[in-house]
Amino acid sequence: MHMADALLSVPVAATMYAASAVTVGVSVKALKKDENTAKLPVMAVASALIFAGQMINYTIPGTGSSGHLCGGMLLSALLGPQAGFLSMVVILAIQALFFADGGLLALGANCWNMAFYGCFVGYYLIWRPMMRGRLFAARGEKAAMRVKIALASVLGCVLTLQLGAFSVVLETSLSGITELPFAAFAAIMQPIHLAIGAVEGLITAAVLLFVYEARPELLMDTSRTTGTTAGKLSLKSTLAILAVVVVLVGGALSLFASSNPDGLEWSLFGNPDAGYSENMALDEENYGVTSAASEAAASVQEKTAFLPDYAFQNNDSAAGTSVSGLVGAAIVAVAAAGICALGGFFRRRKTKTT
Amino acid sequence: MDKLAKAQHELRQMDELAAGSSAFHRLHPLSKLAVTVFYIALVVSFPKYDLTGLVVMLLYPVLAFQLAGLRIRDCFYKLRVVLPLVCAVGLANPFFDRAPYLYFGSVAVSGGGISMLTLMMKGVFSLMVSFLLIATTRIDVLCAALRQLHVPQLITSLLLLTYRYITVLLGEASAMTTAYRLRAPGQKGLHISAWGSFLGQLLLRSMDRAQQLYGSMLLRGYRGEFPYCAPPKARIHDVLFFVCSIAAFILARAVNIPQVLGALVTGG
Amino acid sequence: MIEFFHVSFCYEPGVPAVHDLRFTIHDGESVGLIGANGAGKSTLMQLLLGLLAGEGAITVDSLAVGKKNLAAIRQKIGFVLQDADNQMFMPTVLDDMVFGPCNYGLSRVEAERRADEVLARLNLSHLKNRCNHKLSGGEKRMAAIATILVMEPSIIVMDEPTTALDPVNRRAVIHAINDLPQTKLIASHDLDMILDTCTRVIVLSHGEIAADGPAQTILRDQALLEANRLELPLRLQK
Repeated sequence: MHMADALLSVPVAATMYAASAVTVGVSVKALKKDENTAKLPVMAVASALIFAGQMINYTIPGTGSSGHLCGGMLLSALLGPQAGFLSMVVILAIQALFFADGGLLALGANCWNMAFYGCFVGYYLIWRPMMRGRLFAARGEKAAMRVKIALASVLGCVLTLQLGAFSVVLETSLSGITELPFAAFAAIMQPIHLAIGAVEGLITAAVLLFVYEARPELLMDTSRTTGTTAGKLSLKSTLAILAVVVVLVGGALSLFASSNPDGLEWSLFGNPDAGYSENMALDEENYGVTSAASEAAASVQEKTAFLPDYAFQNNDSAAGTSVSGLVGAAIVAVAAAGICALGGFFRRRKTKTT
Repeated sequence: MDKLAKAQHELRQMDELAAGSSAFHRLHPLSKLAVTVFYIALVVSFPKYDLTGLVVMLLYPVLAFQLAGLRIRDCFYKLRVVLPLVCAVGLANPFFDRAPYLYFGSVAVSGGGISMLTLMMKGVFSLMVSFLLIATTRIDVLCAALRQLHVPQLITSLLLLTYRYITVLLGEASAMTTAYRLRAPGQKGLHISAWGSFLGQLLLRSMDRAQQLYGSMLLRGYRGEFPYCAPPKARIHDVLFFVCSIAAFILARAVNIPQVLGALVTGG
Repeated sequence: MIEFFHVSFCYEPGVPAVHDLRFTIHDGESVGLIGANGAGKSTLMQLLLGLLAGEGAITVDSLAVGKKNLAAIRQKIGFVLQDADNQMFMPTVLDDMVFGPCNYGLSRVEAERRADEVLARLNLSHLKNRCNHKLSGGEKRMAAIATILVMEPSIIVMDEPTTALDPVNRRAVIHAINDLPQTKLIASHDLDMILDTCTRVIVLSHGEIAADGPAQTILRDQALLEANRLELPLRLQK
C-alpha cells in the first residue's frame, strides 16, 4: 500500500504532508508532557521489530500464499496511539529512504494512510473501547480479554486498511494520475485490502494474544487480572472462530464495497464520463465541460499550490508531440548515455592511477 | 524468507555508498535534501502528456550519479518495489484513454499510452534522486540537518535509534527463521500455529533489550537529549549547487528543451 | 570505594533475588563476581548502578546510591554490558563514544579529542568511523569498552566481558582489562579469565554471599566451588 511519488500531484502530496506533520506535532507534544524518557528506546526497538516482522512470510493455511504485517494496530496496542504513530512514521521514512518503498514526496500520504488510521483510528475507535468495555464478561475476565484482544485486532486491521486503501484511491484520483474511473479503482482496491486486512488482523491477534499470555502488562488498557481461568479458550479455537467471523463480515463488506462506490463517485465528481476524467484529457470539444466537484478540486489545488510552476499546469498544449520534440528527446537520451560513459571512463582511470 | 537477509544486505550496501567522499557526498545535507525534494515535486508536476519535456529531467540524476561515483544499475534493483504499483495504476490508462495522440507514420499512439510512459518515467526519476540523496548522505548527518530544520528531537533520535536496531532485529529474525526452516523443511513461510509465538517471542526479547538499552543510555547521562554531530557549515559551493540546480529545473519545466533542440536540428 | 550495607532486593514480593549483601571494595581492587545462573550477579550490578532500588544502603565513594546522586555516581562508574549491541546504540563508533561525554557537558570537539585518545590507547583507531552494526563480535566488545573508558570512570563494572569471543579476542580483552588502573568488578562464568584478571573473588549463591576472599584461594577450593554449582578453572583442573 506504499504510494510512490509518481502517483501524487504536488498539492495532494503537500496537503497530506501537512496533515501528517500536524499529527506528528501533536503526538510529540503529548509524549513530551509524559516526560518519560524510557519511552524512546522502547519505541525504537519496537519499530525495528515491526520492520523485521514485516519481512517474515506468514503462510495462510490452505492457500500457499502468504500474508504480511503492517503493524499500526500492533504498535498502538503496545505503545499507545501517539508513540505508535511516531514509530510507524519512522519505519515509513526508513522504508522510503533506504528501500525505495514509498517515496520522499509521498511520505506524508503514506504516513496518513498507514500510520494515522492504524494507530489513532484503530486505537480510539476499536482498541480502547473494546478493552475497557464489558463485552464477553460472562466468560470470565481472562477469557473475555482474549476474545476482545483477538476481535479488536481483526476489526481494527480490517477497518484501518479499508480506510487506508480508500485514501490511496482518493489521493490518486485527486492527483489526476490515472484514467481508471474512481469507482473501478475503489472496487479493485477495497476487496483486495479486505483480505489483506483480515490476514494482518489474524497475525496481529496471534502476536498480541501471545504477549497477553506472557506479559499482559505490556499491552495498553488491559489491566493485569488474576481472575479465574474458567472457560479458557485456546489460541487455536479463537483463531478459528475469528476466521469465520472475518469471512462473514468480509462477504458483507465486499458486497457493500462493490455496489456503493458508484454512488460515492457520483456525489464526489458528478458524472465521471462527462466531467472529471474527460476534463483532464485534451479533448477540445469537451474541454469546457466541468462539474462542481472538479471545480472544487481545482480550486483546492489552486489554493494549496505553492510552487510557481502550477501557474502553467494546464499548459499541456500539445507539448512535445511533434517530430522535433521526439528528436530533441533522443538527443537528451544520447547526452545522458554520454555522461554515463564519460563518468565510467574517469572512474576506471582513477582506480588505475590510484 | 530470504527477505530479511536481503534487507540486511541492502542496508549494508547503502552504508558503504554513503561512506564515500566524492564532491557530491561533501555537499551540505540540507542543500541536497532541498534540491531532491524540489526535483521530485517538479518532475511530478509535469503534465501527463509531456513525455519529451520530461526526458530532459533525466540529465540531473545521470550527471549527479557520475559526480558521486555511483552506478545507475545499483538503484535499478530497487525499482522492483516502486514499479509494480505505478504500473498497475498506469496500465489502466491505455484502456481508458484511447484517443490517438501521436502518429508514427500510420501507427497511432494513444494518449493513454503516452501518459502511462510519462507516469513510469516520473516513478523512475524520483527513485533515482531519492537513492542519490541517501547514497551520498550518512543518516547521522541527515538527522543533524533535520534538526537544523527544527524537526523535533524525538523524531530524529527515534530515527537514529531505529535505524541502528533494524540491523540487530533483522539479524535476530533471520536467525530465528533459519532455525524454523531447518526444523520445518518444505514450508515456505510460518505455519499459522507459530504466527503468534514467533514474532511474540522476538517481541518479548526486544522489550528486554529496550530495557537494557535504556539502562545503558541512563548510565551515560541520557536526559532526553541526543548529541548530534555539528552539521557542516554551508559553503559557497553548497549555495551555488542549490541555486544552479533549482534554476536549471525551473528552466526545464518552463521550456520544453528537447522540443527546442529538435527544432534546431530538424530546422522545423 | 564501593560499600554494600545489608542490601536486599525482591522482583516479586517474598522471593528475594539478593539478600543481606555486605561487602566493601577498596580503590584499585579487581573483584570477580561469580555464581551460578540466577545467583543474583546481574541484580547486584543493577543495584550498584542505581538501575534498581532495593533495601539497605549502597555507597560509592561515600555517596549514597539514590535518586539524588545518580548523575554523579554514574559518572564515576562505567558499565560494560554483556550484549554490546545494547550498549552501542548510535550509528558509528565515534558517535557512541561522544554520547556519554557530551551528556556530561563536554563540547563535541573536546569529546572527539578524548575519543581519539582512548581509541589510540586501545589500538582501535581504525574503528573510529565504522558503523556499529558492521563490527565483528570482538571489535564490538572492544569498542564497547572504549565507549566506557572515554567517560573516564574511576570504577568499571563488566558483565561477562569474554563471552562469545574467539581465543585471540578473549586474550585481547583480558589484556585490556589488566591494563586498566581503575577499580574493577567483573561478573563472569569464565573462571579462567577471573583468575587472570582479579585479585579477589565474591561467590554468590541464591542471592547471598557464599564466599569472599583472594582469587587464588577461592578459585582453587574445589569443594567450595562445586557446592555453588561451579567448578575449578580449566587451567587448574588435572
